[in-house]
Amino acid sequence: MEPKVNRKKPTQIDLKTTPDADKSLKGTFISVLILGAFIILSWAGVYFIFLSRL
Amino acid sequence: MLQRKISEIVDRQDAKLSMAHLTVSFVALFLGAIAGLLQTLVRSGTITLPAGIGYYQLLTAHGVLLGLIFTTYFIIGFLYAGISRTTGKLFDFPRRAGWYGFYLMTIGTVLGVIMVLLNKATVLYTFYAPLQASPWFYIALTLVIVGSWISGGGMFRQYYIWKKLHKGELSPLISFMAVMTMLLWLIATLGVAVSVLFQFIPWSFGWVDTINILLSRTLFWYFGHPLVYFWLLPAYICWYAIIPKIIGGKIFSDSLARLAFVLFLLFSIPVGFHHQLLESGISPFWKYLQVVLTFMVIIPSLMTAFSLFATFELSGRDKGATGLFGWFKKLPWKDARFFAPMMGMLIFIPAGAGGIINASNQMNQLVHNTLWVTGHFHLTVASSVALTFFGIGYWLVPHLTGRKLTAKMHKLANIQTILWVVGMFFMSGAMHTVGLFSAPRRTSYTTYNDHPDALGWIPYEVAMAIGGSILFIAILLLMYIMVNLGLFAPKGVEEFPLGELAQGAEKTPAVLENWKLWIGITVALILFAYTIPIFDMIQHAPPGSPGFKLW
Amino acid sequence: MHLHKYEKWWLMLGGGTLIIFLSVIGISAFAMGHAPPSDHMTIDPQKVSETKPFDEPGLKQIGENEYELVMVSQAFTFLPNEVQIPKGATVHFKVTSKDVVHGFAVTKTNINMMITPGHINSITHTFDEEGSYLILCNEYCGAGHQVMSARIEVS
Ligand code: HEM
Ligand SMILES: [Cu+2]
Ligand SMILES: [Cu+2]
Repeated sequence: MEPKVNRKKPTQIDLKTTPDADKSLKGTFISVLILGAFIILSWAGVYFIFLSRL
Repeated sequence: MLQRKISEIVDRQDAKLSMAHLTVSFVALFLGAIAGLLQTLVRSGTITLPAGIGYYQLLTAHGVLLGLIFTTYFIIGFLYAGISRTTGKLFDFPRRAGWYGFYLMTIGTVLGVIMVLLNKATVLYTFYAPLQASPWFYIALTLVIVGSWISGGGMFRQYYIWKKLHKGELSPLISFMAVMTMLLWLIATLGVAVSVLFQFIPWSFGWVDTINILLSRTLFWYFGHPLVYFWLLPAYICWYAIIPKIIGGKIFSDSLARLAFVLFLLFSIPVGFHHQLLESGISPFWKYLQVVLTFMVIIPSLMTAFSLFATFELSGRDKGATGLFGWFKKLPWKDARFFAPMMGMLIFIPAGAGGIINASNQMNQLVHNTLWVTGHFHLTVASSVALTFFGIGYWLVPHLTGRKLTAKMHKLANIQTILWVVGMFFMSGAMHTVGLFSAPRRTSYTTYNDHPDALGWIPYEVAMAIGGSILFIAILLLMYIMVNLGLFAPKGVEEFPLGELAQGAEKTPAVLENWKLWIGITVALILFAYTIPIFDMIQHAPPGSPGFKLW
Repeated sequence: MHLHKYEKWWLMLGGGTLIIFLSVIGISAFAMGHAPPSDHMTIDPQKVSETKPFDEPGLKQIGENEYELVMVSQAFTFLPNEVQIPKGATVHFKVTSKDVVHGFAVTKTNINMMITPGHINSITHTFDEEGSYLILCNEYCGAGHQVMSARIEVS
């Protein structure tokens, strides 16, 4: 691939090269937690239907 | 070392190969959607089919055309374009293999469709024995599979030559993922090929009298689960490697993306028993073991969820988003190339949650063969995957035909996405719900002599028909857009978006491209999960079954 | 390979959840007897009507309010077609097929299993509530698949 002209501001590079700049991924973390909660709730819901029909 | 100059535009000749595949794919989608609409109308008691067409004949056509033909053709067309874009103009052998594969698959497709239309193959797309179709139906399926192998071989060859020319270099991400997808397909289809060649064809020609039912089902599902990952991985390619470019961000991590694909190869095959959880002849231990392996394949999807959100968040923050979710608003919602796949990704959340439920061993008793399952895979393949494929088509078709995706088409495409999501909300939502009340899938209109439990299903079946009608309108709109993009849109250059790595991103470990290692582990896992149960199936086989034509 | 701190947490939480799911269904299956139907008995599918107990399908009392229900599925009926059982009865279903693959599901219960020719499948359920239960075939078996059903009346 042809290298593209690099138009990035220096601060950007900081974000990417220090991956543990944790602040920047808080939204991601909360999002996946919501996703996880959705999985747990639906699974538990169906499991309780299973128990109620035993 | 010979460095190949790589154009940002897919070579014209390669574009033809891809477009041929995409064309068949969209024709199959259109025909299959007509069947789908009619199915929802029949099931709700709205219409009865004219001219001696059977419900199950229609359903066979729907399953074959959409589950097998639409997907496989789109995938091969897209992967060839992706390989040509990232490794350069196809070499002679790969391009020829692509065309041979295409012709073979197309002969198979036409033959198969004729058999279904003649009502000689009303066995549904899973063709469970001992329902017995015409041998030509099984031969048709064989041609499709062998054709796809040849195309896959072409891609492997292109990748291999590229690696030879670029010793020690990391392959382009999309070409790596394409090879992984076709490798998964190759290993998976071996099961169904063995079953069709050594069981179904001899039996349907009458060379042998009977067939081992359980073995045929096990070989089918050895293929059937990785089949769904074969559908999904190309969508993941778009999400991992193309979407970052469209939203103006960077690929979150090249190595994690490759690792996810490796894990899909390892864990998506030795898990077929989760489709046979309620069958006799397989012990609860081996079923549970494959359930555990099935749960392993959830891990790469969890990784994917994180990577995608992270891509969105980082790019949003680069654009100045603040707060916990400010980045969400910075996403290019009006861009059809983003909006359709994004809806696909979001729909993958309930789709995945449903999949975990389906695979949960005895909980499968609640949902197996009910409409819940149909609702589930209309979220996975018919929404997450299909919407992503539509989203790819919006730029890939004009890219390949030298046209532009216009503002008007962006707008229509976004309407198409909204219609699809709304239609699927009704259809799949109703299917999920009524499935929990035991309403069976693959069943024509029925009230079982007005049994109250069955009468209670009817309102949901009406909701399915409403959803199905909206979906059909969405398909008509999609056809209009695709024909426009392929034949009438203004000439120009539409970008093939290719995600890039962030500056100073960490180096990808070479072990991720150690094919011998990954194939070795895959084979070991397959042998571990299947050897003893299959030995048992053959050792303790009951007398086989003759064929039946009950339609 | 570097993993972001949050991604590590996420994968540990996600993985932990999956382990909990697996433990719940594993214990329920193997310690509490709720494993999915997985009978290992086989039969000659062309000789079902001559083979015990399928030569005489029907309900047999085998204990105090405990029954064995032997059923034959064939396109497009179940034999027997209607069964009366008292409330609270525990029923051991034993089913096979004379021809193609059929499904066997009962509404309002967890009863759901595949009936593959050559094999016998079995499942047990206690009917604690009165009412009419619909037995239906939920695997495509041919042109008349949608009529293939039977009833259990619990009173
Ligand atoms: C217009 C849009 C669609 C409608 C209205 C529709 C409707 C339906 C209905 C009602 C069924 C179940 C019928 C039954 O079990 O009795 C069904 C099954 C199925 N659909 Fe669709 N569908 C649509 C699009 C798709 C797409 C895009 C795909 C795949 C990419 C797809 C794949 C399948 C498959 C594989 C089956 C299972 C067939 C079988 O059980 O043998 N559908 N569809
Ligand atoms: Cu599966
Ligand atoms: Cu049936």
